[in-house]
Amino acid sequence: MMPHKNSTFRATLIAATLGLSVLQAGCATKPDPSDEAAVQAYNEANDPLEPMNRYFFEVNQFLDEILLKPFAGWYHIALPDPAEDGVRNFLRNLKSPVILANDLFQGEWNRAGTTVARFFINSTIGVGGFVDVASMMDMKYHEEDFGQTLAVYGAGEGPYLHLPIIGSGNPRDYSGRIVDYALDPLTWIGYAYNVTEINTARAGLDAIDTRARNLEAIDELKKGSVDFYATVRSLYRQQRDDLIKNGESEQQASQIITDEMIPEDGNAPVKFKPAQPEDQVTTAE
Amino acid sequence: MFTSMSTRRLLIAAGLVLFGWTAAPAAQASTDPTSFIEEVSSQAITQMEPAATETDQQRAAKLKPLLEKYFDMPAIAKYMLGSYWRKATPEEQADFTSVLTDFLALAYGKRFANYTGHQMAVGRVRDEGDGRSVVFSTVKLPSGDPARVDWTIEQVGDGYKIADVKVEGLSLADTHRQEFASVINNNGGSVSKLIEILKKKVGSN
Repeated sequence: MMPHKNSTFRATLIAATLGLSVLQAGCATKPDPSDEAAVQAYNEANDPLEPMNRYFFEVNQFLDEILLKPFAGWYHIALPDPAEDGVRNFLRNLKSPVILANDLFQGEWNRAGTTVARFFINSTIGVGGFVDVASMMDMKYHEEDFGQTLAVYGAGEGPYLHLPIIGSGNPRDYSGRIVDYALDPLTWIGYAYNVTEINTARAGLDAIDTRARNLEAIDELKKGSVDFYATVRSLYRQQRDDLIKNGESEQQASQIITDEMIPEDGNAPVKFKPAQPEDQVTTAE
Repeated sequence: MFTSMSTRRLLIAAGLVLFGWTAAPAAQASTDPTSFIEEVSSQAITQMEPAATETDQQRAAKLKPLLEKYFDMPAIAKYMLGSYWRKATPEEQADFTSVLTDFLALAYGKRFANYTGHQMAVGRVRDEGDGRSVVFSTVKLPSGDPARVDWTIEQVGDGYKIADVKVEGLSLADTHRQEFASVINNNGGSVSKLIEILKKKVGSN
């Protein structure tokens, strides 16, 4: 007999059953198909796991209140603004290899060149990345990640998914994060020299730095909102959309590609396609 | 939690959503999109800059007439309700439009007052057809970082009105549209419940 294998099987079965029931409890009730407005709102939200997401959102809000926000507050008080900027510059410089890889994946040769130049200038003249000398030379920082690369290649975002600690996301962006993690030389340096703590420390510092820059902004956002979860969900999507389009399409690409040029089946390059064409503000409805 | 995903843009969005601000020339009848946005901007400075130290209610009282004058509130209200607009009764539609103005005046008063007085550079204008256009502008933040602010405006009668503002790609109209849809859905599809919640929000702050 193989008792070991048997118990593994049983454990898997239990886990699967538990997982399924959690998932079921976490599912949003589908709207009545005859209720047109509700169906449209349901589709627009694209959040089939809303109850579960809301639960994790609440958990994260709690963690934010007791941990991240206080830390960020102290950090903000303790560090003078130039020092805070230095930390951000340093963290951004560390992201250069991942940004470069994704610039290249997307065929953004000019931006790839900027990323390389920024890395060398800031790592040397910029004292290990603490001073963003390159941006004074008009080579501005930009973000790029594998989630955006997937979008440029035409991958859809999938449903919204809010995870504990990590926060807002969707299957496309989470897959992207895993790839970025593997692309990052620091990941491998961490494993090779048995100092994976550097990556944990870096992620923690990044979270604190970002939170410290948004102390008042998030308070105001929360205060002025009647459904903070839905607001954050919407802002996350819009922000990702803007990043995918490199913040430019509004100003440049859409002059070249108009809505009429996008085929009915929506197979236009994602880069130029407005995410939700029906969301244009219009008085005629 | 607010990790790296909600970056600086959240700050900017929350900070500036309504207006960009500059010392524009004195207000005059605006005959083109660029001068319209410049007029809005200069009015915003005159009205809102002294309000930085006032209470939320005082700021809201100053912002409300600006919203009514320069924003196409009926069109914005209709867009924000989405397909629920057609389900709402005429009374609910009117009620919603009115409470929405108060809600936005309250929600954005502080962000507004804090950010007045910053340099705004109005860039090019894109004609969208049907009397609509987008005016692109850049606002320099106190940190020195520039933020993109795009104004969707439309021709109403002889003048212009604002239909949406996008800060760094984050749209005021879309954000509240999704927020309101969520509130309605979680209250059994009731528009009147949303109105009630908004009224309570406006009254209690």
